[in-house]
Amino acid sequence: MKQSDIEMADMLRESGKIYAVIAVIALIFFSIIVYLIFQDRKIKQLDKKLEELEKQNQ
Amino acid sequence: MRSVYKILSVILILYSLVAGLLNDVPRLPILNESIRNLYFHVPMWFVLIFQMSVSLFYAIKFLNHNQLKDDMISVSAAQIGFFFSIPGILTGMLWAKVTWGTYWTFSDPKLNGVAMAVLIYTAYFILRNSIEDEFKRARLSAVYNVFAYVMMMVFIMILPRLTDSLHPGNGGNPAFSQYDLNNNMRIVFYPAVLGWILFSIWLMEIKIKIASINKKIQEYEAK
Repeated sequence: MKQSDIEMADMLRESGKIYAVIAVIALIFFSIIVYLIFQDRKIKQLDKKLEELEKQNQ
Repeated sequence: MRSVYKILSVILILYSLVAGLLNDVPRLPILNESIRNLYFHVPMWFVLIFQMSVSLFYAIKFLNHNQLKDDMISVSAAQIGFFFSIPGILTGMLWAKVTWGTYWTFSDPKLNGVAMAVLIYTAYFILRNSIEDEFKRARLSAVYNVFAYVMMMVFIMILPRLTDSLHPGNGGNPAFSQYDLNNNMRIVFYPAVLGWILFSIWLMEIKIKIASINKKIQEYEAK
C-alpha cells in the first residue's frame, strides 16, 4: 500500500478549521485547571485555619 | 516555588493536546489518525504505574518507621493511581473498537491483566476500610500493598510479554519504540507522559491535604 493511500484526516487539516477545535479543547482544559487552582487554594486556607484554631484552644 | 511543577504539568499537557493533534504522525493502516491516542491513552497507564510505585515506596517506609503520615501518602497515591486507571480503560476500549473491532477482548492478556490489577487494588481499599484501628490498618494495608504491587507488575508487565498480545511490544508484536514511534511522535509522547505524571502528583497533594484536614478535625472532635 502506498503511503498516501492510507486514509488520514488530511482534509480536516487543509481546511484549517482544526485550529478552532484545538482552541476549544485548550480552553476547556485551561478552565478546568483554573478551577482546580482555586479549589487547591481553598483547601490550603482551610488547613491553615484549622491549625490556628488548634493553637488558640491550647 | 513549590508549585512550579504544577505550572510545568499544565504547560506540558497543553502542549501535548495542541501538538498531539497537529504534528505529523506515521501513516499506518488500521491505526490511521487514531495513532494519536498514544499521546493520551498511554500516559494514563504510566501514571498508574508511577503512583502505585509511590504508594509502594511509602508503604515500605511506613513498615520501617511506623509513621502514620507515610500511610496517608501511600493510600493517597494508590487512590490517584486507581483513579487514572478508569480513563485508561475507557480510552483503551474506544481505541480497541476502532482498531481491533471490539471494545474488549479476552484473548489479550494485557486487558485481562489490567482488569485483575484493578480488582487487586479494589481489595486493598476494601481491606483498609474494614479495619478500625489506625496502626493496624496502616500496617496490614502496607503489607498487602507490597503483594498488590508485585501482582500488578506480573499481570501487566510480565504475563503479556509471555503470550500473544494485540498490544505493541508484547508477544512478538512490534513495540512503538522499535520503529513505529518515530522521533516526530517522541517529542509529543514523552512530554505528555511527564505532564500527566506531574499532574497526578498535584492531585495527590490535594488528596493528602484533605486527608490531613479530616484527621485534624477527628482529633479535635475526640477532645
